[in-house]
Amino acid sequence: MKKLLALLLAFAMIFAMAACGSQPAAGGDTAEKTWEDELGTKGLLRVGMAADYPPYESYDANGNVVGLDPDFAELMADYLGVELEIVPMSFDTIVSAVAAGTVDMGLSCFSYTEERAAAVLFTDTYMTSTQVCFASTQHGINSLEDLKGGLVAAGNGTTGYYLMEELAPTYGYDYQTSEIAIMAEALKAGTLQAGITEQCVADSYIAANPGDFKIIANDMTVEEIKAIANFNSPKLVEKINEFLADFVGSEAYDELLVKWFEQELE
Amino acid sequence: MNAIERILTPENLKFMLLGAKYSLLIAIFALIGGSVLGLLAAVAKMSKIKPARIIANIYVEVIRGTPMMLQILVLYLCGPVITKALFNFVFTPNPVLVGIIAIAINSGAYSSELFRSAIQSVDKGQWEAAQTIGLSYTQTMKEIIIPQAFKRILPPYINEFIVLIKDSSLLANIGAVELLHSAQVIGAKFYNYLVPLLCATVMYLVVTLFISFCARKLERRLAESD
Repeated sequence: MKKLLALLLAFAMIFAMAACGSQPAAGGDTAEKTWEDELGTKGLLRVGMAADYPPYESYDANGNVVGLDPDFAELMADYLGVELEIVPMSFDTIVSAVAAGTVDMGLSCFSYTEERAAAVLFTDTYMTSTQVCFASTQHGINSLEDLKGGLVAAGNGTTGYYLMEELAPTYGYDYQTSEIAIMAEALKAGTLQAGITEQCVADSYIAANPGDFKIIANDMTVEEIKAIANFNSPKLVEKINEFLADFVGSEAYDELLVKWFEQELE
Repeated sequence: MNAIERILTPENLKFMLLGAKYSLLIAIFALIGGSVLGLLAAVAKMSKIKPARIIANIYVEVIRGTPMMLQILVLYLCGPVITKALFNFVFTPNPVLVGIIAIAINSGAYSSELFRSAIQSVDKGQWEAAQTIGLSYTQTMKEIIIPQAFKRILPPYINEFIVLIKDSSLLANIGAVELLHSAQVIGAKFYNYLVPLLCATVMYLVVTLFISFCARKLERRLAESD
C-alpha cells in the first residue's frame, strides 16, 4: 500500500509541475509568434462558457448555447476570420481551463478581480455589471438583515461567492455553493433563503418566474466584465482589444445589448 | 513546484481534511441509516403480509431504478415543500443532513437485497430445527439466523461502505461540505483544479485502502473461527 501511495504522490507532483509549466511564458518565445499561432487549433477559436447564465449564455430549445456572450464570441471570431467553437463547462472550471490551454478564451460574464488576473490575461472591458441578492417572495425575506440564521448560496468561484463569504459574519447567515438553476429552484422551495448572482441573471430568472422572486439588495459590487485568455496569448488579447475598441459603444453594440437585455425584461 | 506550494498550504490542507472528515461522517451515518432501512425492507420483503411486501418492493425498485444524483436533488428541493405541506413549517435543511438522508435511503434499497440474500442463504433445515426445539420467529432470527448471515454479509457490506464514501462526493452538487466539494472550492479560488483534485484522490485512496485493509484482516479472523 505504501508503494502505491508513493507512486500516486509522484504522479501528483508530475502533473502539478506540468500544470505550472503552462503558466507565464518566456518572453523571447512569444515575440515571434502571431495571434494565430496562439490559438490551440489553427483557424479555430475555442471559447469556454457556463451555459446556465441567461441572458449572458444559456441553452435554447435545440441545445445550442445562445445569449450575449455567444453573440460576442461570434463577432470576435468573425473579426479574427476564424471558426468559433463554444465549449460549455461549469463556471468554476473556466479560469483553470483557460490557464491550462484547454480553451483559447473564456467569455462567461467574467468580472475583473486581482486573483483572476494572477491566473489569466484579461481583455479590455466590454460592459459593467453588479451583484445582487435575490430571494423568494414567499418566505418573508425582505432585506439582508432578515437572513440571520438562514442559508445563502452563490456559484462556486464567482465574485458573488467571495462577497457572500465576506458578508456572512455581518448578517449572521450560513452559506454554501450552488449552481444558479438549482439555486433558483431551492429558493422557491425554501431550501435556501437567498442567492447572490449577477444582476441581469437575477433579472432573467425573475422575469421567467413571474411573482416568485424579488431582489433584496442591489448594487452590492460594481464590476468590469472582460474576456479572459491564457498568459501565452498576449497577441490574441491585443487583437480582441482592437475589436472591442471599435465595437463597444457602436450602434451594433447597443443593438446587441437591447436584443438580450430588453427582451428579458419585457 | 510553486503551484503545489501555493495551493497545498497548511490552511488549505486543513480545509480539505475537514472535507474528508465530513465525507467519512456522511458515509458512516448513511451506512447506519441505510442498514436500518435495509433490514426493515428485507424483513418486509420476506414477510407474509402482502402490503408490507408491496411497499418494500416499490421502495427498492424506485430507488434502484433512478440515479442517485436525481434522488439527492429531489430530496434537497422537496424537503421544505414536504414539511410545509405536512406541518406548515418550512424546514431549512443543512445540505450535509439532506445528503445523509438521501444516501441512507439509497443505500437502504441496495442493502435490503444484501440482507435478504444473506438471510435466505442460511439453510432451511436450521429454521426447521429451531422450530422443533420451540424457538419463536424472533428468537430464531436473533439467535440463529442473523449471526450466520452476518458473517456472509460482512465482505459486501464493507464494500457498500466504501461505495458510500465515494458516493458522498455527489453531494458537492448541492453544496454540502465534503472532500470533492472542498477540492472544487480550492480549485476555484486558486484557479488550479489539478492540484486539489489530485490531493483529494490521495485522501480518498488513503481512506478506502485503509478500510479494505481492515476488512481483509477481519475476514481472515472470522474465517479462523469457522
